[in-house]
Amino acid sequence: MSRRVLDLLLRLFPARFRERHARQVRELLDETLRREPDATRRARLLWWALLDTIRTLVRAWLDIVLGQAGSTAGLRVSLAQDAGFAMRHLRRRPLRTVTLVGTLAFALGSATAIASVTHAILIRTLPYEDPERVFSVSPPPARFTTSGPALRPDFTEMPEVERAALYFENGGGALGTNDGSPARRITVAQVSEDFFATLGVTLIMGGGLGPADDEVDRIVLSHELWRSAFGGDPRIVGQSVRLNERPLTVAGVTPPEVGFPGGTDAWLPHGAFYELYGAAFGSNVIARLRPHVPADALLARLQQAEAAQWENESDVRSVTLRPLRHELTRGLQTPLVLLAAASAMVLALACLNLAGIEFAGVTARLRELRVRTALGASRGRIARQLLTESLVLSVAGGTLGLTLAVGGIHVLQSLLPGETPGLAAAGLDLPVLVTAAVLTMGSGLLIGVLPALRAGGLTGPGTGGPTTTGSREGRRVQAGMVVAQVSLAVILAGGAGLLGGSLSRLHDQPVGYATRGVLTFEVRFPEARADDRAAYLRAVRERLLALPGVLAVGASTRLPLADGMGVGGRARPSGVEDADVSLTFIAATDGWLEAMGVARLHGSDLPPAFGTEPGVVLSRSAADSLFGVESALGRLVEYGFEGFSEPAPVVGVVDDLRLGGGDSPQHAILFTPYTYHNTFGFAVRTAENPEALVPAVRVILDEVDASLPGYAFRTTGSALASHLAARTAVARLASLFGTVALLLASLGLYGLVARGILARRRELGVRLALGASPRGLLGRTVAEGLMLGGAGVMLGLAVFLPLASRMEPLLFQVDARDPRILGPIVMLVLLVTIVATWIPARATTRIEPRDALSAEG
Amino acid sequence: MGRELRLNPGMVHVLLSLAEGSAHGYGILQDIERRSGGALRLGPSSLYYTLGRLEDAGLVAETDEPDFGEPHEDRRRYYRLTEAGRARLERELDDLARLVAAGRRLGLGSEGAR
Repeated sequence: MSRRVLDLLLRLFPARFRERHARQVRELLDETLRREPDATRRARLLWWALLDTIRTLVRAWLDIVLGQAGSTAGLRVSLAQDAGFAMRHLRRRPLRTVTLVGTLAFALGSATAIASVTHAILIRTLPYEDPERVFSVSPPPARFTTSGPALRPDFTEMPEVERAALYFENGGGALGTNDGSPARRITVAQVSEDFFATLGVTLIMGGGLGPADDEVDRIVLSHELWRSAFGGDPRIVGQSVRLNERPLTVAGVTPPEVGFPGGTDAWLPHGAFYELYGAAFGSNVIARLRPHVPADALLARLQQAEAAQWENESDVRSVTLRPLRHELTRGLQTPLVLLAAASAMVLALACLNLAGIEFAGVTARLRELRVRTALGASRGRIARQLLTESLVLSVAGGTLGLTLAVGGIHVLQSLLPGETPGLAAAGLDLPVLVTAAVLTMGSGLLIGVLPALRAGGLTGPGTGGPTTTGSREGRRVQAGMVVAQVSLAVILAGGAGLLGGSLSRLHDQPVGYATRGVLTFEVRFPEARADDRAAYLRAVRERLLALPGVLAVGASTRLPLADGMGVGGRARPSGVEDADVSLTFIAATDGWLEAMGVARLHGSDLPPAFGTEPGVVLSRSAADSLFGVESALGRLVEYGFEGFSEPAPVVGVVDDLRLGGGDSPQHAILFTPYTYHNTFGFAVRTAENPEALVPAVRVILDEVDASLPGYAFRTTGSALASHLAARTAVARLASLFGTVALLLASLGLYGLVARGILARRRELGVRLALGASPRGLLGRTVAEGLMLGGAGVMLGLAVFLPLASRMEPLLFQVDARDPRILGPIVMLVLLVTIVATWIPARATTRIEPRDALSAEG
Repeated sequence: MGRELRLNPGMVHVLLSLAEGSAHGYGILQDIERRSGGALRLGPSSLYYTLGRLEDAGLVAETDEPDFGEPHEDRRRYYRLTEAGRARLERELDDLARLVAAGRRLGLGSEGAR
């Protein structure tokens, strides 16, 4: 047995040693064993000979790699020589070199850019302590009290919970400083006392917000706001600032990049600014687990508590715990991972492509290489030469790629949602540079290893002559590389097709309101001036309606895709106990539904705002669940949060709305008259371009009340587009990669076919001379190419289909194996295959048998 | 041509063995083991690798004639020291002797110590 191992090892030696000494080694070993009588000692001898052989094997190969140098100093010299040769060789064919370097630069650059963004968003350490122990709890274990929402005591006392906090989705406020500069709009979160401790954030200065019922109104600034609005003033703590005209004392500054909830500039104690609760009383809860407690334990307990709360089993909601990192990355994990995988595949494809070119190039340079051998270069040296060439190529590509990566990072930053934590900081930091270096060197090796082996194999002793057996194997290797390229292209194109199809279905999904011609913006009215609301609304509406092109104006407590969860309550047909259903409540002025372009099914609009007339409007599914759509009009309904109000008549029924964008469920909505609310979510319907109205609207708001700036000016269309921003970005990048992949693969196939025809000119000439039809030859060549393409498609599908389910989270109404999308993609790839084969194959029809036969084979 | 081959201890021993007369593989192995008292053992692979490199450097050469009147076994290959090899070996041993003498003057080492 060991003898066989030894024989195998001997076969691994460089050819020279093999030829000269392998037999001698065996014979010597046999002789030594023969002369040893003791069996145990014989066995030991054999073992030792094996070890000795392994050691010698390593030394032999090392000596080859070190070349005639025999030491690292010599190695450096000969590597430098190799590099010089490489550059000369590459410079001789500038166009080809530029193309190769450019392809690599694109592949490496995009991979680096994606690595940078992925690192910044998903991998970098979060600026919180022990972030794996922090989770968001949904539905939030909070309840309403007279002083506002509070954490349920049964939750905070759970043994698994170390601490917990409430926070409210961002409201906007106008921050004014004492130096008279204009108020700047900031995003504010209101949080309970333990918020920063739960998150694991230590303020870099200041004592924090303190208990909510304290006398002093405090505010904590984000690091970024502190720098941009206050110039990083080291004495900011204790200074007074104004938010919506109210004085606050700065009580602290956070470390950089805390940004939770996303995009927050400043934190207030909750309850301080009633009007800043935004359109909703929705609260969110984060909790920090005690050390060594598994999340499942808390989840189980929470689910129990939830079940105990409701009598009706159908009312019990399912509890979810979402890790903090997931909250922060806002569902970008899957898209980023997919993009990273795609860019890796593009890089692999580019390497295969270049390897094929270099591989074929070896045959073309055979004469040059053999001359070098004749001049004394060993085969190992030749092989190293080619490897150096591909490394030079890849280093050039990688360097250029870094420049491209910088641009790529900017592109990604503009495509992905801006407030994603960490996105802004994406750059070429150390881990990313290391990744880029590894990818570059790896690419160089991948590209060069096959050509290097081939060069070594073709320039050794006994490899001369016109027809080497290496050429048939060589063609097989090249064909294999092309098949691999096609399969990668299929995978990338398939993914792109699915994402694109999904995106277009999302765009087509009706949302229930007008996606064009509607401008929306928000105004928060301060609690202190509640009495002025009616007059304010009237004044603003009057002036807005006077603008040219404006068709309708209204306001509500909830704009689609606005920050903040919906307010939910219960409603029932008047007088019918136990028939209550839960609905989303939106308070709206008259004219809002019209301005939003919501289709009216029955009846009329809501009663005027700030009036006393009762009346509600139901959305279709709300009407359906209460009375049935047809018979809802005129019926009486009772509704409320914790109890039920006086009965109010249903004055209208409208279409359902998808308040969260095309991929969100349809809401069953109860629209109530606008009476006591502070948030104006304005909608302005115009026959012209809504964006163009913005300056005029700002002027109007300023005229009516300069202390109330409007904000979040956007059209319904752009809000939807932003909502889909991440998906759109991924789909677009995927299409880019898919296209590049198809292009590279088709070029690879083209090159293979073209070279093959050139190599077989003689054979083809013979066939033609013997009477074969040129079109027949053409057909056969195309058929061969098609077989390669088909093999690539099958291989690609075989890899893609099992993994396609990973894409499910990103797909909308599209099955990951949808044949309606994958079918055409496969057809496309096959078509490209045919074209890429047919174009060079036409050359077969132009072969003159005489020329082909007389040419050198 | 390039740099001169650096001689490691194994190579020196092989050269030394061949200085006595041409030999074949097994003989060289035995010789080295005896001379070094078992401290240096070459295996078949490393022996022939070493011989190969010495041959490339022109210090040894294959030969058909065994010395010492041993019966010539056809399948064995014999090796002999070349002129260049002899010269190189002498030079190497001179260098080593100088080292040893320098050490002795400092009072280091002793005769026959191991």
